[in-house]
Amino acid sequence: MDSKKIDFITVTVFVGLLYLTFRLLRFPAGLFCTAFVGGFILWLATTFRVPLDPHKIIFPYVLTVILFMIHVYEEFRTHIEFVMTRLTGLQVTQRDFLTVAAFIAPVIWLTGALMVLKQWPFGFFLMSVFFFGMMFGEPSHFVFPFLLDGRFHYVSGMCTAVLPTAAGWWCFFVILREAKTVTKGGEMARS
Amino acid sequence: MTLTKAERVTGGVTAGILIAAVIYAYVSIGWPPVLIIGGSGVVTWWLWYRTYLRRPTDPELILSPFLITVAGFEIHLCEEYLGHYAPAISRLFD
Repeated sequence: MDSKKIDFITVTVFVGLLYLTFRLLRFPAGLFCTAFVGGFILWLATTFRVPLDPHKIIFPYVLTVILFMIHVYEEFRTHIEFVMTRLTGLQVTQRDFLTVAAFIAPVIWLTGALMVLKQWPFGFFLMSVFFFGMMFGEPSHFVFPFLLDGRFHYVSGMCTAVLPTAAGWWCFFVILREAKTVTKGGEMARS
Repeated sequence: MTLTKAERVTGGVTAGILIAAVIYAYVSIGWPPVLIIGGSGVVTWWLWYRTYLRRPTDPELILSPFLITVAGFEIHLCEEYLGHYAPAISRLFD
């Protein structure tokens, strides 16, 4: 079996196990796994198909992690846990939020950066999950007020949500540009 | 070592954020964080001056250990938060 097939099966099994774990813990598994499924599709469409030089993406990636942490600080100061509790129906405490968003999440994204530097496919998958979350998850801060009260108003994290969102899209375009360069280079070498 | 304008601006902004954080720590807590961060900062400045500034390390070599250290520090911070480090350090410095 070639290494690409093994990578594909490994990540598919990982996402499946994650979904089952959330189901067993009685969390809304579909909602919690959205970023992972989205990241999986993004990974399949980009770095899974075309190998990427880690040095081209590491700076925008780490910068996006920094901007994400600044955003988490705003969420902490303005008590996002109340918004999350109202939106999900689950009791979310500030301790839960900080443990996951401020401590565990950065460790996962930095581990992804390390794996990318080592050119490990799972690292590129984690990177895609992070970018998918920033590109599509963070803009949801602007939808939250409509879901909560049916009108637009400030909701925790709204001011800085644009930082990781913009950086996530920038990273996505960097990946596309590099993939195009690699593909073009390969075609030229063949012709 | 010649720096580009972008490198100078980035360095200046980072130093500015660090100084602002120390001032904030002084205003909200007092001298201990200034001494801990400032003291380490002075020692680090000397080490940086003696090593990196004279012979810059290849980023390819240093980036992975640096990111591992940051991730390890985050895990440590998580333990400090869950283990109620803030009240403990408050008692230590009265």
